[in-house]
Amino acid sequence: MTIFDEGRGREMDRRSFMSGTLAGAAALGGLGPFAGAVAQSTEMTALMVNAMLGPTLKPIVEEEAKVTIKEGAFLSGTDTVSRLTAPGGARYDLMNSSFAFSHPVVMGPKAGAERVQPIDVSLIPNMKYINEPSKEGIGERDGKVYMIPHSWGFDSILYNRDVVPDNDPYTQSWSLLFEDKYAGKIGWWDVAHQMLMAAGLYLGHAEPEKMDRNQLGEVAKFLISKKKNVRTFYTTFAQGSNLLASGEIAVGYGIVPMRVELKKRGFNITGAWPKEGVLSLISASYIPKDSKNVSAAHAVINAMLGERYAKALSDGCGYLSASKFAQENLTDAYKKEYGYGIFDGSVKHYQLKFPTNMNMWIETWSRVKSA
Amino acid sequence: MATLAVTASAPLDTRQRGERARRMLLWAYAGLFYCFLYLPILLLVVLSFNDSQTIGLPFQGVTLRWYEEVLGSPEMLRSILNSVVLGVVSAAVATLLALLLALGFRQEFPLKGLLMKIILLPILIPGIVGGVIYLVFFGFGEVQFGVWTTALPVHITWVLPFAFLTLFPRIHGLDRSLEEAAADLGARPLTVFRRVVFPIIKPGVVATAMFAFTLSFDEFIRTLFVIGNQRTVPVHLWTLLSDQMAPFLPAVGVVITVISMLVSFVGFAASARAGRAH
Amino acid sequence: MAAVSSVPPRRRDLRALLVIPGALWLLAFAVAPLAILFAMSFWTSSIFGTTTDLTLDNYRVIADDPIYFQVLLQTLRIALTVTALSLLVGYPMAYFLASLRGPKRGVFLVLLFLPFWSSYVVRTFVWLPMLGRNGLVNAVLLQLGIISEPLDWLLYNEGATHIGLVYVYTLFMTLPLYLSLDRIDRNLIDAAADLGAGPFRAFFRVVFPLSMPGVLSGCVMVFLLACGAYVTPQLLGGTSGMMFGNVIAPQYTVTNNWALGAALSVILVIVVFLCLVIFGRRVRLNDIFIGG
Repeated sequence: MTIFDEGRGREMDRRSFMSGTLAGAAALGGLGPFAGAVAQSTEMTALMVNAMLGPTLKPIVEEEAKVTIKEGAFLSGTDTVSRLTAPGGARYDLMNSSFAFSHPVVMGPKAGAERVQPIDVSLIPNMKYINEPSKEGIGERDGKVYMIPHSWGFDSILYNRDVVPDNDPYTQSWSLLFEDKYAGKIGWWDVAHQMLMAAGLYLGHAEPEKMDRNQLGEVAKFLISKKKNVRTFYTTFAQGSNLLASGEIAVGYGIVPMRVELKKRGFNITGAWPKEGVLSLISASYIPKDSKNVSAAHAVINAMLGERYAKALSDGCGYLSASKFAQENLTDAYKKEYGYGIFDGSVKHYQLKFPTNMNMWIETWSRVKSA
Repeated sequence: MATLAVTASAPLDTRQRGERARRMLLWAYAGLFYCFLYLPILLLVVLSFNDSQTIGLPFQGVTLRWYEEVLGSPEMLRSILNSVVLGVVSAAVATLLALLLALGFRQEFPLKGLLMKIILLPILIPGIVGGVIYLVFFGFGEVQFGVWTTALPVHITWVLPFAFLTLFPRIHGLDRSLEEAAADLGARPLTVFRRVVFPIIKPGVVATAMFAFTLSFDEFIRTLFVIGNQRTVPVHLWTLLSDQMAPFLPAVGVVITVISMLVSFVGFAASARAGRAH
Repeated sequence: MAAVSSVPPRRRDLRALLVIPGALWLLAFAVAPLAILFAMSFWTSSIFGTTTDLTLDNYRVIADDPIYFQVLLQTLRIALTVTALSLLVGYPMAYFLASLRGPKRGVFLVLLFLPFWSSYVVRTFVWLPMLGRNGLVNAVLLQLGIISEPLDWLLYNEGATHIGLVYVYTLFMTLPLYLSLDRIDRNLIDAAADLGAGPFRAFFRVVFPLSMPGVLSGCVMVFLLACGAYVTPQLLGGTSGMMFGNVIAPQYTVTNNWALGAALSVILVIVVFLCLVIFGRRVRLNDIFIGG
């Protein structure tokens, strides 16, 4: 006798088992057309903030690049770059994450140490449209281009206006995310880099990415003391959005696409403009060495800098395209809402740069989480 | 014992009353238990019709659009197909391997005790470690992640010990004299197996395969780490849960539950009929 | 009989060869991966990748920081409580099932199985709308006027992790209990009662000891499953209900510290094995699984 035996099928014979599963398989057989419909154009895999290929955006790219894109689940920039160095390779044809944070890993410390392949710019005619502020996000070494900017974005604190009034002074600083006022209603994103950057800025570090072990220890101590205010951590943007939408939390670390989607779905949730600065980033695309579909990857990068995609991007996910077409037909109110102020200096921002000792950051955050 | 029961002279009345009270208590408890078991599932069904952008109460009116969204999603259908085929193949392979192991285990051989522990290994390794192990193993082996390259061997390995543990007692307890008589009458080993052993253990083999299928169908954590961009049903659910705002999630849960119930139920019903015919 | 059983020993040895395919499979896909994990726990990892440079640093990091030990203890504690709770919840249920006769038993058995044909992930996440702020429990309590504000402490803590784990793994406890109770000869219980043993004494002296194989199987199974939990604490546990799985997984999914993750995994495996060995002094491991 075993633990499990018999409960499910005393006296069952092979015929009945087969007929059972075959019936199921037959029912599924009707789905054949769906399975067949996939392999129309060339297929490629991509790992980037999923909202960049949201329902209004993906069709544009797929049409212009003549590919079918299969997306991986984006977790964070840290996760994305770490896949480049994971045993067995990146396993994606195209990847995209924040330039300032990613380029030390993506391009390696010196020539020859790049973890991606050079991009053939002759296949990216739309590069000529890249706007001035975004040129900073071109990853170049020895005349070869390894990273190409896609868009600007920024992270901030999202809050529920039914709980947190807009005129609450807490919304003017990162304090909203940490301090006791909204205890029990706060959610933290489970990512070392962004959370420690935000806390570092809030605690007055001018260049938080350069914090040393002692300063990191201070930040950790601060975060641990504020952990009691936190209802839960979330690992993905969708989890954060769900928490905000369902009212489980009223305040949380968030990226622009979260805010845009919540607003589209009718939730009264907006983003704060902390005086220490929002955390900004230029997201950039790169092609891993083990990419199996290099030409499709090039085509997608090009399409994402094209006029149609650039114009649809802000409305689709809130990011600001790196192409000069992005701003063409946007009103001032619209620009304000989507944070174009980070270009003209009216919104303070600080770039999410790569920390001097990333491993120490990761350890520090683990300590905060487990404490 | 029987004599004792007859000669005992306990006051039957009070005992019967006590017995009835105990039975009532048991039924009441069972009622509570089934509430605990089914309340969340009933809630899931209710929420799957809720016309709301969040997963939760209050109920804001009936809609069928979540079901339309779910049933129209090719990814959902592909993941169901993946799970079913993966379940069938891994159940078949694991049952075969387990059957061979169980047959071999009737003999004494060196390192038998050690092999027994190795068979239990996949059960003894905690789930999360199971996932990590295969990520590392296939990662360093540079094996392409996918349903057939990595998830299949992982599933076979995971269900193998359960299949063995289900089969072994039945085969171990088999009366040997029948086989030995057949062998003495000149039957070759394979014939003995086909004509004598297999008919006896057949119901056990089928039950094992069925059980292995359900285990594979529900396997999640090990699969999540090695399946790459493909999806089984539980992985698809997890992806929905973590990658997008999915107000249709309860509808997904209901659809999946109904499908796995149907698959299992059809198996049950058919076997009952076959049993009667037999 | 004596003549029949003296089959030439050579043939028996040959039939033992049938274990070879299964044994090879397990060597390739169970033993080898575990060995690689063990080796990797001595390698070096950073955000820049994993190299095979041998080091004890991973274990040093774990030893130096008391956090890991605390989470490990918390995990074992949660796993034990969940096991005990499952036993408490499952035993009367198994007893109920075993006391049923005829088709009723079949119906209630199927009713026990049905929820487990939905997915593990569904069974876990369904507790979010049960226990959340806008969840069923809060809605009912508010409706009844028992509370005026939704309760926050129902979800995102250790309690929620417990509820989730007990719910998700009930079948693994109830089923072996039922199977072993079902095998007890009813005459024995009747005899005990007839000999004047009260219902409680009859239960604790006769029924419970006879159901021990089922109790052991169920407990070991639930304990093992709970030790390796990841999804349930992740979804329901909030900031305090974390388990060891939630420390291991991010080393792979978030921070790329594969070597540290391997060392943590090795520790969890060793601790779980130790628990089983200590436990196994009284009962043989094989009996736990096969004897249930």
